[in-house]
Amino acid sequence: MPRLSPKLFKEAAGISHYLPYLLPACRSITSSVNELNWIKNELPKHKWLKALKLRKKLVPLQYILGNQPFGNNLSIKCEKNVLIPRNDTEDWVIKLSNILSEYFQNTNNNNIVNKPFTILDVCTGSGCIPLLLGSEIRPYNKQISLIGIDISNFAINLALKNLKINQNFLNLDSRTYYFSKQDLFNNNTLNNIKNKNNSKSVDLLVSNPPYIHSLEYTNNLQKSVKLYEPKLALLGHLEFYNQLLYKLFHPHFLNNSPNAFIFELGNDQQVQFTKNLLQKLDKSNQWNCGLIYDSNNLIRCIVGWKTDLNILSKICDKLL
Amino acid sequence: MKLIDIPGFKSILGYQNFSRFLFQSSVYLAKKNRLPPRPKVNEDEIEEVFIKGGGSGGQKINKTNSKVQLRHVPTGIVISAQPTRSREQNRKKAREIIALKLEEINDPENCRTKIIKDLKVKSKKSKLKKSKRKYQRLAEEKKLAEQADSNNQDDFSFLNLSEIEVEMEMEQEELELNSNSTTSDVNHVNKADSTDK
Ligand SMILES: C[S@@+](CC[C@H](N)C(=O)[O-])C[C@H]1O[C@@H](n2cnc3c(N)ncnc32)[C@H](O)[C@@H]1O
Repeated sequence: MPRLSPKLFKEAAGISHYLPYLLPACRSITSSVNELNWIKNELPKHKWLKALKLRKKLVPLQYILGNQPFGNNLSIKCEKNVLIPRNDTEDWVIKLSNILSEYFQNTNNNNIVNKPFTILDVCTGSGCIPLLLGSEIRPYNKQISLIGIDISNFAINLALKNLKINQNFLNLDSRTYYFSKQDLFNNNTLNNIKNKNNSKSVDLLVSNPPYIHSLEYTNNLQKSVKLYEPKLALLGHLEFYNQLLYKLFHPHFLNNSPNAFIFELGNDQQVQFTKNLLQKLDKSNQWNCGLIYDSNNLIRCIVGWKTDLNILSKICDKLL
Repeated sequence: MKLIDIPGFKSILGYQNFSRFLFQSSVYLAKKNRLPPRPKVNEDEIEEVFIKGGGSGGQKINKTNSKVQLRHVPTGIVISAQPTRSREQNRKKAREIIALKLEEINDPENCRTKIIKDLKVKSKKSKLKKSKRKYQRLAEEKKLAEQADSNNQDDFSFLNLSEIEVEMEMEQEELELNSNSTTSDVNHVNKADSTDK
């Protein structure tokens, strides 16, 4: 990354003596001005300087302010040791919730008003994905339930806090949301979920697993991410997609295997791998597959669905 | 909005709250009658402009830049909203702004932004008047203080309710307008790509 010029620092200082603190993280006057406004709006005056000094050391703004807005209404609490929700994730989760809301609204006419529908989010972190899906979809289907699992205690504790903080928007029903500490790679994970949640089946499997390859982790990572966000949430590759699909095709996947999946991913190799493995496991040729691109026009998710959930083709920017 | 001290009325408890209530509800009515409804934009005619560059996304980078740019496809107008930290809020704000701009182009005489501007000019004039009145009042108060025995000479002539209403409304509209106009920029497509990185 190119060095910032002394001229830029001078210009920043001319606008506000606070501004130079933000330049190293923000890299431009415009975004520094934005961040300064947010800090001033959200923190009491006596905390400004401390916040600015932390930001100068590239501490993520969301850890400093304590949260990240997610979707229309949610405020996701952010704590160290748990990944900060990304805009790119927010975007596809919003698309998904719109499509599912529409689906349940339409099926309402056919008297499937309260058809149970379960979404399992593997690697849930702060819980942002199930919380947003639940808050948006539940008005259209009272029997939706959402399960989030993660290997990290920090993550599960934070997800539970987020459940509490946002309860006004979550149309809370004790059976709607369920978070549990589980290892994706453990053979008992499915049984554990089944026993604790007594859910009969999962309809949709979603995941944003760690997908940064070790080479990229060392060479090609934003400094603020590398210094302050948990490695456990970032470092991963094909093994996660492998495990997710094997679990999905497991004959005892909670009685009845899901009809659809969405996995966020980071590079082409992961796309090819997942697509090929799906073809291999899909012996009876029931599955369709597509991709979602992000606002940078990069591949962000792979989507799979059986004909029962054909509406998921709507979320794809490209069909495979 | 500062409440005006009315000599002789100070001692009546609750007056301030009551008058605030009175002002605000009438301001609300005035506002509703005076301003045309907020225009809406047709979702089919707009698209989000992708912020180019960066080259990476997802977990590798934690962007705080939540700016949303919208393009009105038929006219090529591109606008962006002042970024809050919430991308969804920015999307909503950007839609409001683009709708205002389009109305301004289609109906420059009767559009909401024009009416707000006109009201602002009016309010500037009334502010001037008001400060004149303030000096008058100060002088008068001085006189009052000097006349130790004249404790019941309350003068309400400076208190013109309807003007105060307009004043308050202006303050509200000004806030809204400033947050729109100083922070949104209208570019045409060719320029839009060169803005921001
Ligand atoms: C990229 S983060 C995703 C967090 C959240 N879903 C989001 O989108 O912001 C990946 C998460 O996977 C969890 N994780 C890593 N290995 C895991 C495993 N073997 N089993 C379950 N979760 C795991 C990490 O703790 C981390 O919270």
